[in-house]
Amino acid sequence: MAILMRAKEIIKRPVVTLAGDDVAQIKDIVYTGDHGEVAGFTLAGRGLLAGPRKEALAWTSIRAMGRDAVIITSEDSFDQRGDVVHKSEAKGGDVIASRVISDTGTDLGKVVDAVLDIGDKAHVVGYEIEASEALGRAGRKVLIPLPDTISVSGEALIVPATASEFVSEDMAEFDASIEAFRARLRGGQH
Amino acid sequence: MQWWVWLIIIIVVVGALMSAAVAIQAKRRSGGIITKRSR
Repeated sequence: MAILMRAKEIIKRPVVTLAGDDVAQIKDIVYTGDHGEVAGFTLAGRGLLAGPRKEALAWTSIRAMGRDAVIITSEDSFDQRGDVVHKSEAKGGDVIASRVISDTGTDLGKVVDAVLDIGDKAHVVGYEIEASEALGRAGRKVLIPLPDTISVSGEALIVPATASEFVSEDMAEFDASIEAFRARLRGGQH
Repeated sequence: MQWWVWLIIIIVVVGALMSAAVAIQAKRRSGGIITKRSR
C-alpha cells in the first residue's frame, strides 16, 4: 500500500508545470469501473471567471502528486478529454450521492467521498459513506473497503456483504481494514 | 431622474451580473468522482 487520501482532497488542487506556471486545477477524478484504477483528471481553468477546460490529464502524464499541487512537465502533457473520459460518462458517472448496497441487498449508505491509494498508480480502494441504520451508525461518516475488482455498472455501487465487518471511522486504521477485508475475500485468516 | 440615481442602478445591475457569472463559473469548475462504468 502507498498513501491513502480522500479524493476530495485532490479536487481543486492546482496543476503546475516544471516552469512554475499555474495552468489549471483538478476538476473531476476519473477511475475505471472494474479495477478502480484512476485513469486521470478532468481540468478547470484558474481564476474566478474560468470554466472547465477541454483538455484532461491522464495519470501517466503526471510527474508528481504533491500535497499542494499536481506537477506536470508542461502544458503539452495535457491529453484530449475524450482519451480520459467520454462526455456521456462525465455527465452520468459521478459516484457522489450514489447508494452503496451489499450483494445481499442491504443499503449500507450514501457515498460522500472515495479513498484513493496513491503510488506509481492510483486506485479507488474504498468509499467514505454516510452510513445507513444497517451499519448501526446511522448518519455517521464511515470508510468502507472495496475488493480488488469492483462493480459500478449500474446506478448503485455493489459491495460484498462482508465489507460491512471492516468498516472504519479512522483513515489511519483504514489501510489495515482494506488488507484484512481483501484477505478475507481471498480466503485468508482474518 | 438625477444622474447619480442612474449611476447607482448601473452599478447594482453590473454587480449582480458579475456575481451571477462568478457563481455560474464556480459551479462549472466544481468537480466530482467519475467512474467509467462498464457497459
